[in-house]
Amino acid sequence: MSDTQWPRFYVFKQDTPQDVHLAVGTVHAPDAEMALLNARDVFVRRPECFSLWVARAAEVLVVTREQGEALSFQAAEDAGGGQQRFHIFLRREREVQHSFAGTIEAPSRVHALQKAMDVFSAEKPRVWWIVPEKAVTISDPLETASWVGSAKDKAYRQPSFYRAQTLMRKVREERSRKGGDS
Amino acid sequence: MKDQIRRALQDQLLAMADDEFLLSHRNSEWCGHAPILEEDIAFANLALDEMGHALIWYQLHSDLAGEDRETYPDELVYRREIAGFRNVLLVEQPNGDWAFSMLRQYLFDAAETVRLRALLESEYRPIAEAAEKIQREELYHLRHTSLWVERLGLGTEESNRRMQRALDEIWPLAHQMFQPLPEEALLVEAGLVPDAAEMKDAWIAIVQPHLEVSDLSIPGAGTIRPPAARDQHSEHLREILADLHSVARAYPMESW
Repeated sequence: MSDTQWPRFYVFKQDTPQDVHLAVGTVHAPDAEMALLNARDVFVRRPECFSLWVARAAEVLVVTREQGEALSFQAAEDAGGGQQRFHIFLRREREVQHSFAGTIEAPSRVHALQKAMDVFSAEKPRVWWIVPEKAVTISDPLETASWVGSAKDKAYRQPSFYRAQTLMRKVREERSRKGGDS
Repeated sequence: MKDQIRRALQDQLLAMADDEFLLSHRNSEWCGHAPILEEDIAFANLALDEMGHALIWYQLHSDLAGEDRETYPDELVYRREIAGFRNVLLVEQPNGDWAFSMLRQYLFDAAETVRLRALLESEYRPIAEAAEKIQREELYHLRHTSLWVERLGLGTEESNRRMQRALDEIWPLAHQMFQPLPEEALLVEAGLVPDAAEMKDAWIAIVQPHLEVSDLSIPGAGTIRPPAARDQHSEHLREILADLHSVARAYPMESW
């Protein structure tokens, strides 16, 4: 079966240095470089953006708590190879967005999941995302500063700039003042 | 500021504003029709940015012309007759296919980047400040369209063929961007705007290597016709204005 879609990338946005990265959605793009640009266009509408990450969806392990528990029993005993770094995102009960919890070193995604389930058990997440660091492309900090600048100047790009209701009320008032309907 | 210089600077600002405005208008026509959703959004963003740039230049023009910068830009856009527009022919052209629009945008973005870099040094402070603001967005536009030109050029046989056809059509038109306006020499001498020939060289230094890397051949020098003057327009602009002006003319003085 052929897939004419471009590959998918998850997008993670960090609003300020005091915040953690949150998963905000996905974009399709031919490659990581364009994914970052697309992510900026799609998700950096309001001025708050300190850092943007994109990660190839195909390389991210996404499991529910139940699936995670089942998987962890099957994790291979002998992993061999070297350690890699994995960013752990999780979604807690009643939360809408997945947020960054920490970075774990492990030989594979499943091992990283196992460790994460141990390290972050107090969070009681419903869903785990295990994101290999090498699948992530990050925004240039100097550039992100320039995106924020331009978003701030462009209030007219936000729906809140357009006060249609007030305008319609004015139109109705004027019409009724002129007497009857037009 | 001497009258002659002020008028020449006004003309320069009007030309820059008209270019941005018409291109923004053309780009907005892709809304809902781009090949993929992300590009639909990206191109709409680009169009919005350019609309903002056009507004900035129209406002500076209004200031020099002694007009109210809150209302005069609307006058310029919605009530000026075709003979009064000072954009280059390139931005009037219909969008064509994605390759055409992307290549046009790329060549325009590169020219804008070069011009803005130079305008940062303008002796007229409002222009230097405006250039600083606009340049941040232009760099992003140029990055976006550069990546596209490369991917389309190196993509498939079809994408390369369409890009080459676009380049063959657009290249002769692009040179009009560097045609000096009447009286421009005065402005260059006063350090208000950069020299057009120097800007063209800088532009070629950017686009030529990138086009070659993207497996596209630049048409030979023999294809360049002497550029038209900016007060000459095609039927395309007439069509755009007929559409653009229709609502404003049917309901003058309404606010939106």
